[in-house]
Amino acid sequence: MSVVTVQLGQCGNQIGPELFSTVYEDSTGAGRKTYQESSRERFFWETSDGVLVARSVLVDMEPKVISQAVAKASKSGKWRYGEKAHFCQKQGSGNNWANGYCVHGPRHKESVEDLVRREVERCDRLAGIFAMMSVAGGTGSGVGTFVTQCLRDMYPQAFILNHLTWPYGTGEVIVQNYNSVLTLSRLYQLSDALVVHENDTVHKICSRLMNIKHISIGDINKVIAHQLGSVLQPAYTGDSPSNYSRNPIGELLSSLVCHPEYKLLSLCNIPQMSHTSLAYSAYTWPGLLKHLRQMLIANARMEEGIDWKVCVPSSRGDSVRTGQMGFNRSLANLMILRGKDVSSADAGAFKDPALYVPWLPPDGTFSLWNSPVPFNGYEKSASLVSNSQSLLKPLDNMVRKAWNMFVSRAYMHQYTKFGISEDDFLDSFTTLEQIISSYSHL
Amino acid sequence: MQREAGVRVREVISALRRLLSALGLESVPSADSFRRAKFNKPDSTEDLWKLLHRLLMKLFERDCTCQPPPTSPLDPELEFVRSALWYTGYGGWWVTRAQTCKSPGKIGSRDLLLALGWVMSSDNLLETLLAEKVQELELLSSTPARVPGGEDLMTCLSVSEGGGAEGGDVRSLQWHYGKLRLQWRSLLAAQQEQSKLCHKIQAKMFCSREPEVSTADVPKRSGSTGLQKDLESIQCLNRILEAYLEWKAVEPLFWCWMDSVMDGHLSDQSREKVTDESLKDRAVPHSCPHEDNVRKSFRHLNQMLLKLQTDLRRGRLEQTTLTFTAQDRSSSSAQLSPEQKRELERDVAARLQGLSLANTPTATSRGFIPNLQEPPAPHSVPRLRHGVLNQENQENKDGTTGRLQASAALKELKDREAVLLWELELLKKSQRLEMQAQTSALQGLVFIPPLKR
Repeated sequence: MSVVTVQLGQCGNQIGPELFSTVYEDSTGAGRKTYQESSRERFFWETSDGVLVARSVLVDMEPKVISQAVAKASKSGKWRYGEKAHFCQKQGSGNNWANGYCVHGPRHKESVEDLVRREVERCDRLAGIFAMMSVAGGTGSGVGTFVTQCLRDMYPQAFILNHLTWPYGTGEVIVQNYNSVLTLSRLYQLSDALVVHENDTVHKICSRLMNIKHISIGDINKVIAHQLGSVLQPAYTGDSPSNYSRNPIGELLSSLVCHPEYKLLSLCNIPQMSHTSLAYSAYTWPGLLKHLRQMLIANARMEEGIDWKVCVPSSRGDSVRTGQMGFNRSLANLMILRGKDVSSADAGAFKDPALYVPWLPPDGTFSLWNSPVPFNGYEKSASLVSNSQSLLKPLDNMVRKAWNMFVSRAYMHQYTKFGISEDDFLDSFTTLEQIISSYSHL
Repeated sequence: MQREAGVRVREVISALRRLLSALGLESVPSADSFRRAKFNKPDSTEDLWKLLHRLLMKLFERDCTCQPPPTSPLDPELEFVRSALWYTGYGGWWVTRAQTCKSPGKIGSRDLLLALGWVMSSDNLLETLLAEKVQELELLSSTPARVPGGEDLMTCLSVSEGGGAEGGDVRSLQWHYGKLRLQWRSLLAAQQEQSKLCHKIQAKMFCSREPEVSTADVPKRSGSTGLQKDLESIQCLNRILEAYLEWKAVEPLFWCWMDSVMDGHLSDQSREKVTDESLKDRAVPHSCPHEDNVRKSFRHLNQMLLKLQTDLRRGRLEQTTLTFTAQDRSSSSAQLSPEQKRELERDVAARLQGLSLANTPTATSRGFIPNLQEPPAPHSVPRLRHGVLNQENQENKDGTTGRLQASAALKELKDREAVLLWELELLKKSQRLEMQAQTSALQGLVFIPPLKR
């Protein structure tokens, strides 16, 4: 059972190696043989001389980031990327989604498809394809969307999970909202689920929880990799309670994103702190879960600054009134607990039907995975993957900003010259408005 | 050569036997039984009867829940086989006329073999059985424990009703449907994994040069009973598919052999026909391909005979015409002057043309034979010749009876119309002349011809 990762664009190719490093380091250690075996099978394959090679395909239109990633991996001496598993060009997509989607993507379709096919054929079982990209730039979003489309055509029955990094609200790229709108609207049709990390929230985690003074992209990527790893590493699941699941992505999807209108997944993790203070901290499961629950209902992404005043409405009528009070309603949640005494943790508080939409059966909304192996140095760690209203606000902001630009036709010619018409934009806006409407009426 | 063919037949039947037993039929008769059945040997009747019965039982398993009434005086097994064969359209004597055969023992082994061939060929029997077996074996034993059942759907519906949320039930059904789809995809992935692993195991085994592949060779792992079971069922499936492929490769030979069985049956039958007329309706139904062939060749021979007879007749007629011509020329041609002759010839030609045009037999006037066999006038030779040609035409047309294209008919009718109009014109002309002659003979009358339109 293996996951094939596709690293797309600069962002994907930076988070990718972090994820593999995290996963590798986490699975190395005494007393975790099965866990290690399972994790290794998931993310790596072994060459005849015993070297671990990441099950990953690297795609970018510039050579810089890929060569960095490849060099960094080989330098670690623990694992490396496949020798011919990357594809890059000399010239980037210039932060233009249309350039990536309409020009670069189709031009290099076959080469990228070949790389992915080779990786997929190496797996005994393809658990899923995990495509990592940002939505702001040109290559990750444009080429990434195109590649996802090709993957969907190639593997119509495979699970395709996209990891999206949402840009800072203040903006890195002037047309980032255009790119985001175009990417999201298309991926929503192609992918099985979109796992979203917002740069803003991750940045806050770095500054407040990790106490990092000068936050670099690397720090942010480490946090993202940590959170992703805590979900993707082996765990006992509902379908396989005594063996590490051989179908993690399938189970994740079937517990969270069964409805085609609701595909946005947010991720939060507790506790998170700097490695220096890790040794001096002690947590109990009830404490962690209490915090995590409040993070869920108050829509906080970190344990600091949680609004404890937000409470679960006791009836449907209440919820309408508390809608303004910041209560975050969920469709479904998946909690993953890792660490000591994990069996003693009581997740009953997450099963409260009041947390969820009334039209789903109460026993189908919450799933719990666990693993007795401590994750990434944390004695106890809890992650929550949530299909809820939590991404509504940033999505709405993104669409609003893009719309404001679109109304004045700003930078439109950059897109029309590659064949993305105003109608395409309008279609994308419609799709996203529909998603916003679906989530706000939960 | 004969011996080689025998060996091939044995192989073919063995392939069939392997396939049948892989499909779950017990004690399939030996190849020798089949061979003996071809020659209607009574000792293989029982074997073939059992096979036919079991095969039909398997085929109609689901339909035969109702038992025949216990008071039925006939053997229930025979009744079942008979009705099943009746259902498939088989019309052998022992099926169509129940009273002539009261026990399976009375049926010849060749009759049973023919019935078997019929069932196999008419209903895609082997493919049906194969599909059933494949479906049975492809059930995954390692499916995830939790599949949302009917209860889940009921609860979700009751919840949505209780909640009274508008459109809630649709969304929850969509949710459940999505879940099922995702789980189905998981199963698909699991199945692909299984086949890949099985392939690996097989490949390893073959690498280690162990020709005997059996499940016992697979290293037993603790807690892998599910896997073991899957492996077994997949290997079983492979065996079946291999047997089927093998059978498919040799199937044409089997049907050739069945043709020879059929030939034997037919030749025996015709021999019996000579001795016993009353058994004539033991014939195999007309839809049998072999019978068709026989009939086709009969028809062919008949046509050839007819053609030969026609040719013969034509040859004879031509000969007589030639003698006539020779006689006429010698008797009368010298007595007329060249001018008279020419005039006469012109006259005759005109009349002949008129007659031939008016009397040409066409497809629209079936059965019309021109009366041209009168005692010939001097110089009527060409007429006669023409008549002969007409007769030939008639015969040729008769050869292709009754078929006439609308356009051809139209053309003919138009030609005929033109001829008739021309005749009419001639008649009118002669009438007018006659009238003029008559009126000019009468005194004090002025003849005014009618106005021309």
